[in-house]
Amino acid sequence: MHVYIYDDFLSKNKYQKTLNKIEIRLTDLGLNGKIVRLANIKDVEGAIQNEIRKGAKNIIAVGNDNTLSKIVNSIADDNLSYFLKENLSISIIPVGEPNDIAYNLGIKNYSKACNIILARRIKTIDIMQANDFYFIYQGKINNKNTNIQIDENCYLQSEESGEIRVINIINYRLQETIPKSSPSDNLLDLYIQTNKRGAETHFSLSSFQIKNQKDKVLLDNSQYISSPVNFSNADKKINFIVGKDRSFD
Amino acid sequence: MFSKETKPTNFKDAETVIGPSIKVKGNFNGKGDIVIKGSLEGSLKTQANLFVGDKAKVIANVKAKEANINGEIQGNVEVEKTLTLGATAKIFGDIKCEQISVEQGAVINGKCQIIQETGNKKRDEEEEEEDEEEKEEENEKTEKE
Repeated sequence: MHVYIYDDFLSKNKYQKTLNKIEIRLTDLGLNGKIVRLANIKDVEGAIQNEIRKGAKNIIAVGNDNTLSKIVNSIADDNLSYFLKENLSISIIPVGEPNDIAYNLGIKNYSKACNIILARRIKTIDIMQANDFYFIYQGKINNKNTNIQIDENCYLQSEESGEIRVINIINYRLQETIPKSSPSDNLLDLYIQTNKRGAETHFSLSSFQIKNQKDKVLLDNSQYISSPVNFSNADKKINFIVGKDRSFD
Repeated sequence: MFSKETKPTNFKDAETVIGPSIKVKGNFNGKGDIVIKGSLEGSLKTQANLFVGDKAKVIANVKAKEANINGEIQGNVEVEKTLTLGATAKIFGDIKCEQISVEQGAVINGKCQIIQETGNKKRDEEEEEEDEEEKEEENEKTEKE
């Protein structure tokens, strides 16, 4: 059974035509299912978990990176861990911005998304943890004044300003820089880019801590988290329906 | 004509790359290839290969399977297989490896041990034979007496 989770921002008039096109396309492809609108729902996690308990096998986010982040955090909850392994798969029909996650999963736009859901190409992706939050794509923070503690005995500092990315699903632009990056290797790729050309740093780590007194970490383009942030593998996986033209193998 | 820095052609897929403006402090243990273009203080171990760029500074004892050094290392260097020192390499410490290649201009300030497994075995066997011969001669002398 398919359950389509419509994010609350889609209640605006400007998205109505797009949603109509999506619904017609899904009907044509025989992918009808239940629609759950998050507008006016206070307990978003509870609503999504409820659908899973009722027997939903495919949860499709209709919205942007934030929509997907809400679904991942609902699913990664300890009460639902039994369903994570084989029974459940998720995907996204990208509407609005930002939609970096969908793009790097090979789901470029909403019309291709419907065909991708029909094709049902599934990849198992690690769920990563940053303090109490779960994410699948990446975390970002400014390089300046940021301290990274790799373990008890080792830390690193940067002298230049730039950006730090904590990567699970690699971005297309960084494919050549970190060719071995994989979203199913139980590792996080720590990538530091400074303003100088060619001055890139990357590590593959299972856990580490980031500290910055001023700036916050942005997870999956949707959630800001205050320092210190402990990154680790959540020891959970999720089945994702992905496109052929994705940023990883 | 001075030779150029040996480029890390085999390190494109390095697991760890420490960029020029990065300082690592502490004991760093890796499993894959490591490229250092910045600085590291503490200790450095990897089960794979190490490349140290010409502007890199490592203040640590280093252990790797193979290494290609073009920067400065203040510490001992222990390499299982081949150690390559480029023209801009400066090692202030002892070296231990199976094979070494040193370009003109490299600086080594310490002891250098080149240990080959096959060479060692031959030497050991020859020493054993000599010891046995000496024992036989002693036994013969005591019998005569």
